[in-house]
Parts: sequence; structure tokens; C-alpha cells
Amino acid sequence: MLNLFTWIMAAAVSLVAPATLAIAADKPVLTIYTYESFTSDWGPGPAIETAFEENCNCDLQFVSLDSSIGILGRVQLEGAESKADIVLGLDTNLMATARDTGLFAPHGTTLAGRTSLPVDFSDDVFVPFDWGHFAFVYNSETMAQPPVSMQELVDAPESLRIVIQDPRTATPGLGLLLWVKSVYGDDAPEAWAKLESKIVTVTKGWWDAYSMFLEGEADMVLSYSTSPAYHVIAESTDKYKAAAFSEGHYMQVEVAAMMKNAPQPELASQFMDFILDDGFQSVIPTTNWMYPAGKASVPEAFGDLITPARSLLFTPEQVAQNKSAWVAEWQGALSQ
Amino acid sequence: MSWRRPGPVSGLGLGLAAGLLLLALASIGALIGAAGSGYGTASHTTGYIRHVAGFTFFQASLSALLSLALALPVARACWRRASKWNANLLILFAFLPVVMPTTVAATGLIGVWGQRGIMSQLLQSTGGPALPPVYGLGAVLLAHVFFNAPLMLRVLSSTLGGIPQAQWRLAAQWGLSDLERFAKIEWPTLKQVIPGLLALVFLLCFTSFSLVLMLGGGPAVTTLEVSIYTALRFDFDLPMAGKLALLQLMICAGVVILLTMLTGRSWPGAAGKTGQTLPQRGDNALSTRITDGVILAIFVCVTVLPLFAILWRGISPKLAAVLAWPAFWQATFTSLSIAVLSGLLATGIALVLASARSRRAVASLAVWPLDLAISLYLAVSAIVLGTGMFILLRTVADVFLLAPLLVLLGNMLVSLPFAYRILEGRLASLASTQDRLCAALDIRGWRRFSLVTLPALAPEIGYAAGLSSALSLGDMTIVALFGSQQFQTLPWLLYQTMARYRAGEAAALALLLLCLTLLLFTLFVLSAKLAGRRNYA
Repeated sequence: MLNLFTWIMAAAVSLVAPATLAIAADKPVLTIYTYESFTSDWGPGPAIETAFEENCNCDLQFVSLDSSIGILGRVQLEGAESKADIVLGLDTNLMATARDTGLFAPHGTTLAGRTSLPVDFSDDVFVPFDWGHFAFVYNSETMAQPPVSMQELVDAPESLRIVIQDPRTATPGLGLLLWVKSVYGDDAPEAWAKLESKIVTVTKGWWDAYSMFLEGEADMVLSYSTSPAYHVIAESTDKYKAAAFSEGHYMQVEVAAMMKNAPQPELASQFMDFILDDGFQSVIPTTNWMYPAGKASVPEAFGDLITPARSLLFTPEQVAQNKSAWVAEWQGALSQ
Repeated sequence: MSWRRPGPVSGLGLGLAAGLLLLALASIGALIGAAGSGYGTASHTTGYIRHVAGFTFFQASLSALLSLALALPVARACWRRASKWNANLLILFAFLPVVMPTTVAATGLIGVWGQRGIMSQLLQSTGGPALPPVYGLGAVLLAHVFFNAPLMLRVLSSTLGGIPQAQWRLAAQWGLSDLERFAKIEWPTLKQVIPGLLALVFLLCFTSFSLVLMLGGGPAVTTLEVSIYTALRFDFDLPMAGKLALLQLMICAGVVILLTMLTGRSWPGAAGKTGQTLPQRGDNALSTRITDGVILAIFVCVTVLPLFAILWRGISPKLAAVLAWPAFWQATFTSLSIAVLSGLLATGIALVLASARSRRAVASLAVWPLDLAISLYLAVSAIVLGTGMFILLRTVADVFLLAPLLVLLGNMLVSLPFAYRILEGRLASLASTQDRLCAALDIRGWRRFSLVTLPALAPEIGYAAGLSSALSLGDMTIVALFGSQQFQTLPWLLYQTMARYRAGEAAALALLLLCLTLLLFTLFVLSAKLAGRRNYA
């Protein structure tokens, strides 16, 4: 019994101890809030940490939260007393809301000439770190002729089965909602009503849908145009492809911002500038499976990916103002 | 009649239950009282919320009733065949579905019922077509039965085992038919646990979230929990999230109170030596054998095959790769520590609460406040509890330091109702056999508890602790709310693996998580059994 007790106490101490270590360390600590997959062993986190710590004489610590909207919620709850120096992993859809909280400070970094986004991006608070296009991914071995436009997908027979994500819980889900809205405008509900018969299900998270597609539950899955690159590089198979739609593809730009009350403002500024450097950007393609926002080179497999004719993107303000109404409209159209 | 007095444990139990319920209410209150609402316009109109609440109620009721409809015949068939090892094995490991992370469990379900699942392949190998896509309310109900029927089976089986041997003997002597046996002997006992079970499963299905979205086929199949999440995260409308959480709590409270009233104050009769069955009339008739066989086959298809699908997919070269990750071992250690701690904590508290219930029942005092308070933790979603606690605590303490404690608390609250139900039934039957004897011998209080009750209760304590720790091993919702780099659990690692396309590694991790859950559970059950035996000797 004593042994069990000793073990339990040891376990309890070991759970709390790592959190206190940070306080004991003598180097200044730069705290970055980000989403969970960023910090995993295959995410960009570890390499970026090493690269930044080479020159900062500091200890970079990531705090990983469950989603990008979870990061914003967290700093809003913490307010001015937040321990975060930087939040990393918001996107254009959250920018206006984030700006309105007044929690973030101007980054003071030059963006002009250092970015390689397919759209104009200039902002004094947010620094873009990567971007991607949403796309439907299919298996070219079982589907020879994918739809070539959103319209063709909408008009496709019911036998074409797609799996998508919920706009309220998953970034790609919101992306598709905005994609359909930017293609169809006020006629979006009709397009959704036509799409409905082809939707196998609407999942909570991206992986739920993607794994269902890999298991053969659907012909196409809503994902990113870069998804096939993963299968080429990590699994040496080119059977998965993204379908290029002639109306253009909706974009996601992921951004970072520094907190107005950052405990380490100088380190935070230094990191904001570092984001567009090669040490950060070169890691992105094969860890976050997105395009680098800076001028880093991409692996060969990225060269075979589709390049959308048009990049669709609402302004952050448009999204912030309309997203609740558009989600209600989406719900209505799919619940008929 | 001094032995009927409730004693100090009753007060302690009531206090604990009230304290924990207050915690849950305080979290909701913190959200409702939070300043600042909403990014966007309110997408939660009264009409829509009423519709969602109604649908959730309907779905949860149907799920609970269907689970019972499957579990009851299976429990009876297993009881009839209790001498068979496979029936016992089925009952012992019936808890597994409910402790799996939902994403993993869902892949198991798709592995059986999906387009390329086991069922479709069987059909196709016999020349038939593949199964049509199963998504919709039906799939959600199937999944809920998969999760909850095994749980019911476990409780119903032990209830059947608690019926005194004398009654079975009478039934055999009178040559009662199967139906007569059910009506005269089994039902009077079963009806005392069934309302509580229905309440538990109703709560679990009412608060279901990612599974409902994943299998529901579209936003029309939804739950109130989805709306709570939307209000809290998508709209950042904390007061609205708090109000919805309160609505959820009130609906669940209504159902629990109603079902508790049906249960009344009685409890299962004296437990004889469990596990012994007398042959009854018609047991070996061909028709009974066939029915039992069919019932068990259906049960295995619904609840066991998905687990095999998970195992099967996990076996790959990736398994060795995962075992070589330092991150895997780190996460395993963290997960096991939390699981063991919260399992023991939940069992300890459940023991106090169940003792209080048993003492109050003997003293003819109301037990519903305890039943209600304990069930209701299940009606408060982890995200509400987590966010509310965060708001309340962040001003008084460092949240990073508190994170492990909050995760522990959250996991403990989730497993408490299960542990409580397991211990409470056994304690009640012990009370009815031992109360008078102990009073006569003047063994009471702590002495009685440690000398008489504890050894007899050992197997249930082991089961409760095993189940509680298994539950917290598979939980990832609460960890996700507090996250930090150092604090990684296995489900969290699994989630990260998935978020980076790594299907093979994710399947291997799911398999390892399943094995670890089994191992931990078995260790608890075995050690409790050994401890109990040693005390008796």
C-alpha cells in the first residue's frame, strides 16, 4: 500500500513539475500560443524553436491549444494578463474579430517584398506565415473524371459522394461555406440544396472527414490543394489528387500577432520579424503541408499540385460581419 | 433501532455531492456572468434552440431504449449460459466501447458498417451488393447502442446474479416457463436498476457531440451540445453558452428526477453467491438455443466487431515505429498517471457517496438528492466546465500550474457516476444481509467498514477503479482545453498524429491505447480480487 502511495505522489509531482521548470530557467521565456498540430513532432514547431533559439538567447515555449479559434478564445479570457507573447495560427477569417479585441500590438515588421502570397496582403498587426487553397481531394485510381468546376460538382449525380466538415467546428468547413458564397452569392442556399444529396456526412474535424475518405466512404473530401503532396512525399503514392475548379479556389492565410501586453515585448518583436525568414518558412511545406508565406522554396512534389486560376478571399471584415448569418443560411439549406 | 441511523457518512456524502454540483453550477454561472458577448449576430433563435432541444431529447431517449432492448435479452442469454467462458468474457470486457475516444470508436464502426467494412465485404463475397451509406439518425443510434448496450449488459448481468438462489430454485421446481420466470422473478429486481441505467445512458447520448456530427449525415442531426460549442467557440457568446448549458442541465435533471422517482427507495434484494445458475425449464430446448445464439451474434456484431476492426487496422509496421517514439512513452506515462490518480479519486469519492446512499436508504431518508447530483455532472459538458473553471480560477492562481489538477478533476467528475452506480448496487445488497448481524455483534462505523464491508466490496471497487481510470485514459476533451507543451496525454498525441495525415501511426496508436486500457483495467480488477481474497482468508 505504501508503495502504491509513493508511486502516486511521484506521479502527481511529475505532472506538476514540468510546469514549474520554466520559472526556474534563467533565460527569458518567449511564450507562443498555437494550435495542437503545430507543436507535434511532425509539425513545424520543433524545427522553428531550434532555429529561433540559435540567435535569441532565450527559451521559446509553445503552448498548444485545441484549435485556432481556441487560441483566440483563450487570450480573450485571459485578457491583458495573458502570459502569451505571441499567438500563432489565427487565419484571415478570425483577423477582424481578433483586431477588435484590442489585445494585439502592431508587429513593426516590413512585409513588402518579403511575402509570396497570391493575393495582396498588408496589415500592421498580423504577419502571414503560410497559406493554402481549399480543394476537393479524390483518388485518381477510382475516379477518372473529377468535376472541373464547383458548378459541375453541384450538378453531379447523386452517386458522387463527398464528405465535408462543419463550418462551426472546422476551418475547411468554414472555407467551403465561404467558397460557395463567393461563387454563388445570394444563390448559395440553392447550390447547397443541390449539393446535399451528395454529402455523405458533415464531420466535426478535418481528420474525421479525411480518414473516412481514405477508408473509401466517399469519392471526394474537402481538404487542401496541398494534401496530395503529403501522399507523394511521405507515402510515395501519387494516386491522390486535388480537383481544380474553374471558378477559382477559396484561400486560407494563416497569421500570427504579438500581444500588446507581451511579457517579453522585445523577444516578441524579434520573433515577428523572424516569421518571414528562411529558418521559419523553409520548414512549413513538409511539416504544416501549406505554402510558405515568405520566399522559401518548396519541394518538388509541390510543383505537381494544381494552381488555381483565381484565389477567392473575402475581407476579414466581411467574414466577421456575415459569418453567423451565412452559417444559419447553410444550416437552413441543408436541413430541408 | 440505532443501526438504522444514517451516521456521519450520510452528511459527508451529501456535502461532497453538493460541493461538486456547486462546482458545476459555478462554472455555468461564470459563463453567464462573463462580460462581453458575441462576435456575430445571435444564431441561436428561440425556435431553433427549441427544435434542437426536442430533437436531442428524442434521439437520446431512443438511444437509451434501444440500448436496453438489446442489452436485456443479451443479459438474460448470458445468465442462462453463465457457465460458459465466452459469456463471462463478454460481460467482463463489455466496458471497452464506452472508454474509447470517440474518433477511434467511430473508425471501428466504419470498419464494420462502412462501404469497405467487414459487413460489406461479407455481403460482396457472397455475391451481394455493398451496404449503402449508413449515415443519418440510424447511424447515430447504432453508434450509441455500440457504446451503451455493453454498459447496460454489465449492470443487468450483475443484477440477475443478485437474485437469491432460493428464487431460482423455486422457479426450477415449479417449472416456470421463460416468460413466467421473467415476469415473476427477474423483472421485480431488474426494474429497480433499469430506470437508473436509462438515466445514465440518456445523459451520455444527450451530450454526444463529435459522433453525432460524424455519423449524422448533415446539420439536421444535431445535439444541444453542438449549439453550446458553437456559442462558446464560433460566436464567443459566453452568456449564451452558459444559458444553453443551463437548459441542458435542466432537461437532464428533469429526466433523472423522473426516472429516480420510478426507481423508488427500494434496492436489489440480497445477493447470493453470484455466478451460479440452476438449469431451468426449456434452457436446453433447441428454440432457446437458437434465440440465444442469434441474440449473442447480433450483440457481437454491434459491439465487439468494431473493436476488432480497430485492432486489425492497428497491426502494421507503423506499430514498431510508434513504440520507438520518445513522445509515445512520455505521453503514456502522463496518461497513466492521470488515469490511475483520477480512477482512485473517483472510486474513493464514489465509495463515500454510495455508502451515504446506502445508509440513508436504510434510515428511510431520501436518496434522490445524491442520485441527482451525481448524474448531473454528465450533463455539464467538459468545454463548459473547463471554460467556467478557467474564468473562476485564473484570477486566483496560475492556470498552467492548475492544468493537471483541472484535468484530474474533470476526468474524475466524468467517471464518478459510473463508479457510484457500480458500488451503490452492491452496497445496498450487502446492507440488507449484514445490517442486522453487524448490529447484533455491535460492529459498526469504521470497524464495520474495514472489516466487513470493504473485503466483500473488493471486486466492485476494483471494477469501479478500473473503469474510472480507463475512462480517463481515453479522454481528450479536457486536456485539449488547457494544453501546454509539457502536458501531453495519449489521446492528445493521437489527435496530433491525425492532424498531420498520419493514418497508419494513428491506427497503431489507437491499438496501443486500447491495449493499455485493457491492461490497466485488468490490473485493477485482479489486484482488487486478490486483496479481497486475502482479507477473507
